[in-house]
Amino acid sequence: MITAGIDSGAKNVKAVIMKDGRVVGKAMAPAGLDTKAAAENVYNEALSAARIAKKDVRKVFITGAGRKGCDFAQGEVSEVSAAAKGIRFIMPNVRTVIDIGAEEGKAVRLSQDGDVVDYAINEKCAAGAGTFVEAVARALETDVDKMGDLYDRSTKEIDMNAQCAVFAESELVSLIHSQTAKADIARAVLNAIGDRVVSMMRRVGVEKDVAATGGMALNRGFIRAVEKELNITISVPADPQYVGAIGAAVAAAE
Amino acid sequence: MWENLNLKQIVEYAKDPYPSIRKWLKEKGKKAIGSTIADVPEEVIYAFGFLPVSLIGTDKPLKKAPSRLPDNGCSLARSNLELALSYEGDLFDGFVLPQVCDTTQHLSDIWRISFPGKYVESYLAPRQVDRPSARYWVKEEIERLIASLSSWSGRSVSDKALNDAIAIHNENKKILEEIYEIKKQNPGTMTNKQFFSMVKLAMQVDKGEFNKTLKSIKAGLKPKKGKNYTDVILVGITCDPPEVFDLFDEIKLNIVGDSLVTGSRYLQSIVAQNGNPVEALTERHTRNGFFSPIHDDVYKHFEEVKALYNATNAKAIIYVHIEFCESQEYDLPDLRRMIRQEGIPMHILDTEYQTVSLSHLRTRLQAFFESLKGGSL
Repeated sequence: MITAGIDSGAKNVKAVIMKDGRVVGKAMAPAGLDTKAAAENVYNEALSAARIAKKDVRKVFITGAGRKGCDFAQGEVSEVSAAAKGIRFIMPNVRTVIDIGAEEGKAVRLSQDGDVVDYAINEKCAAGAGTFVEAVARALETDVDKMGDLYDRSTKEIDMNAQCAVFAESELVSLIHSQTAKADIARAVLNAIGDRVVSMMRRVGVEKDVAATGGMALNRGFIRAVEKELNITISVPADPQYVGAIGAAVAAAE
Repeated sequence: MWENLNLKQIVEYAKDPYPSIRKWLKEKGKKAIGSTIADVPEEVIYAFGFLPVSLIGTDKPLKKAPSRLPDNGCSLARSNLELALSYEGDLFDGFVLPQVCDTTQHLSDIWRISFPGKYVESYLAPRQVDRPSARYWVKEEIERLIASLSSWSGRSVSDKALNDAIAIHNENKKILEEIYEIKKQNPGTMTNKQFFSMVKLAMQVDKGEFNKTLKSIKAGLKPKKGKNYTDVILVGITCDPPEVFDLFDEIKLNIVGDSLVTGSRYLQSIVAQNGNPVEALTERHTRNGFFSPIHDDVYKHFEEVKALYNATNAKAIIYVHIEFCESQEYDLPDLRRMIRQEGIPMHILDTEYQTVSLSHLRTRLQAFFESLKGGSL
């Protein structure tokens, strides 16, 4: 059976094509202002990559913040269920997943059977999401992909007290003005984001194995910050940004 | 004005009742008295010939209220103050403000200062109604309100006028309750939003007129069972903005019971028609359940919620939390813990009167019900 999953996120739209329990095509593009067009485009790209015709896809399911704007999907699934189904498909032993995207972070605890036991979502505070890292990277005049490297190079731990991205940026400016090393600032920021995510994880309860998905999972500084705080190891699947879309495709197959 | 409305009109009027109230007052040459929820005996205001209007917030932007109530103040209290300060204040000749929680404790003073030209009265009914002194206190407070309205308006009110007002209000609640029963058993008959808009509008417009609409709607109802509904109960004080009900309808929830002041707590506040109106209104106050257990038994609220959940055979509880409502925030940790211990699925919906986007609420609610259907939570 062939199904498709689309994750219409705040910043990027992702699509995967699944055939007989395997991902055979995927694509990603910025969401832009027309999320419906973006979803259609990435879906078509994923179909091309999979060399599969649209007519052969039995069902398309959508998830993500922009899911309501897409009318060609036959079903939808919340981001929580999509994260759970996606990670369960890739890593069946995972019991806790953190999914951190551009604007939203969530922690989901799964039962042994893969059902959602509890979840917490942080969508009102940018201090726990990827956009904050981008803003900080801009302020530090570095590339967002290099924030993880900077974390590794840091030699001094600095506390960042602000619990809000806006105030954290003010604190950041003070650190820059006081000639604090760029690497130490990057580490402070990633630790602060990690702290926000850890509090969500503590709310739902942490059970091993633990995995991270979403764009922020690619930031190894952030992952280390969470690992250190909770004294755990976090697994990151290949292409963690696609896990939500995979979850939607799994839901479509169900 | 409100005698012959259909369901679509009811939803529209409930969303913004004030243009119709303004027009009606002008046509009838009447005055309106606003009151915040939940204790004020609107029958008394009605008996004086005024239109009692329950103030249930606004979703319009806050401009002036934040200068009087802090950002971490109850969203409903701030929103009500804004409603009167910036948007609809001219419509009201006065306000009667109850003291039902810490936030509303002497909040009437802020209103009195903010509206120097208007009639502003407080209504201080007891919360611990099991005490023997409570009944005496309530009766005195009702009599004080009658004296205050009389002094302000230069009018007097007879027992007959009070009894007539009680009869009209009772009829209103009775018909609404009957419609609610039909809707609970037959969720395809009308949406949750339509029903709860009906209750909200009933709290804000002339009951004599609106009762005609309700009778006509009830007579014309064609009960429809509908398919794939999930029965839930709503626990809370109010459920706003009204678009929250759209989310419930979207995922096919059937509200089979509630503890809302803008729901069952209003419908169940029927007054005995025994010839002594002040005694009967006193009895109603002492009989009503109260939302907050502050200064009361903390288990009482839990027992009430659990009993409602069991009696309705609901599949889950949706707790509607108003942002920064002190009473709810005081109560919620215990309630959540006790409900979890019972193994009852509960979802907490964080609402705010100035909410502009419901997409986050949708995601949380959808995730909850997906999990519920998956067998966990």
